[in-house]
Amino acid sequence: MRIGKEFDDLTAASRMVSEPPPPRVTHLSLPHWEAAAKGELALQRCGACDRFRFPISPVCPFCGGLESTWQAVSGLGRVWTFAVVRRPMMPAFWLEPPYVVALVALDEGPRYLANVVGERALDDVRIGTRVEVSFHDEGDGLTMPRFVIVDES
Amino acid sequence: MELAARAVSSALADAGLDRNQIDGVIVHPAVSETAFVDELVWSLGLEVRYATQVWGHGWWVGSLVSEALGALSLGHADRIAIVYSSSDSSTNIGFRTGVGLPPRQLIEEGFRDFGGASGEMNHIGAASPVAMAALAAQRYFHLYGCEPDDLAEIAVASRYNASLNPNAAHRTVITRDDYLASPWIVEPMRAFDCCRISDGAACVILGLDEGDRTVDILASSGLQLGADQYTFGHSGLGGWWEPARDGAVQARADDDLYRRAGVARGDIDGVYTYDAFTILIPLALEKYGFHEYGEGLRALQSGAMRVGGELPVNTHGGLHSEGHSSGWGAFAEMVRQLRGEAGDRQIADAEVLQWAPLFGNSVILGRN
Repeated sequence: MRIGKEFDDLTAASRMVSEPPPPRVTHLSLPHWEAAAKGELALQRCGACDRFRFPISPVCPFCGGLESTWQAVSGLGRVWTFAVVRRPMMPAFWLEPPYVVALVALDEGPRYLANVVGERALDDVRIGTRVEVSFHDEGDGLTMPRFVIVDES
Repeated sequence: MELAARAVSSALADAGLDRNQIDGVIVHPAVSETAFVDELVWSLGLEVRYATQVWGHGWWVGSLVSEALGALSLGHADRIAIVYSSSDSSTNIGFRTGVGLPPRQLIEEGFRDFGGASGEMNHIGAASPVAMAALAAQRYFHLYGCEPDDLAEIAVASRYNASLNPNAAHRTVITRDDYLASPWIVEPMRAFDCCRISDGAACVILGLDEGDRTVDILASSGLQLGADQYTFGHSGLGGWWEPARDGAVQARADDDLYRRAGVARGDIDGVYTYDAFTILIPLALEKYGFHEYGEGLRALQSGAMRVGGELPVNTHGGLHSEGHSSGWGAFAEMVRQLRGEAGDRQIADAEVLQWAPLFGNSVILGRN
């Protein structure tokens, strides 16, 4: 896992035809992916107003603060909205269609776009469904945070 | 480039202008191979004193009209040609999904930390705007008690309107059953909810002239962006963040637009909107106050958006059925309608028409 990896291969465009597209890892997003590799869902938390945010950004959308730290969140949330990809959207992907794409409203506030996976995903996913993060090793140092449906506690 | 050249040539002929009378150019490039401003100006032998180029996705057509109005009012040019061209279909860009060959390339924006402008995140397997339209639609159904099948009427109506348009790419009418039989692409978006990407070009000439063939621009408004909405949703429907300000909702496209145009909302004879996906039509109608939030999709069930309906929408068939020209096809159609040259799909006594995309950058046109 390092910055700019996807640019190493100048034939990246053709490579993508046969391999799933990895997330871009930048100086900004590196801590997110390093935390995932350790089994933590880490988000930026504003040093000025204390709020968590996502997507990854160099500035707080709530107060404009430029300082932030990365902190692990609970990994619990509820499905805000979701969709089921039934036709291949890209030449190669880690998940075979049909798979679920969901905007998960994390308990800490931000909404996180992720796949909901697991045996119950396709049958049981609804708006409001309780989900928890799980981590999936995709090789080459990449760990993808995804979500699974959990029972109401 | 060939398509762009033909579009400019056709527009000049239609306007009765010589190319020497064009002294400004705004180029709107597409995702794929496209005519860029240098190539276009040199190839066409133009001499311009105002040239710019705005990469504007599919959303920005109204904004480019405003850009031209600004340049005209500042005296930067007297006649500006806005030129759009695309080979998105034949170059098989990444937005293409679910049919035929896999995309040749993925959209670069989908690799930003932030995701793409339409929310694409390639590593989540959401590489095309259709995924975001599906997320918005799902939320809409949940909030307002509708269901995916309710979108059938929009697809059927768009295709009906296109059947009256000799320029449309998809003119064969479809039935509700045809719609229901079309496969899910990203549920709840079926194949018939999605426009096809297209090759094509358009040229719109704006100037200070008045004449028999011109139409009036009554008012325009700017593109709205904010943290509590995402591209394919109006306020409260989605968004990456919880609302940034307590209780804040993005202002509905406000009455100020209509006031500046000197018309009432009820004076609008036809609405034209960006409909890459069917769900965007009710969202846009709600944004501009033609319906209350959550009422738009239900209201369309009566056939209101068809030619001859209560408030026709996209009489040319829209991106959905005429073809994806990013919305420039709607401007061509509005001009035809206001000139009374729209044939079988003519809106009777069309006087005021509105380009009303979900993104807020609206243009109201009036008959000269």
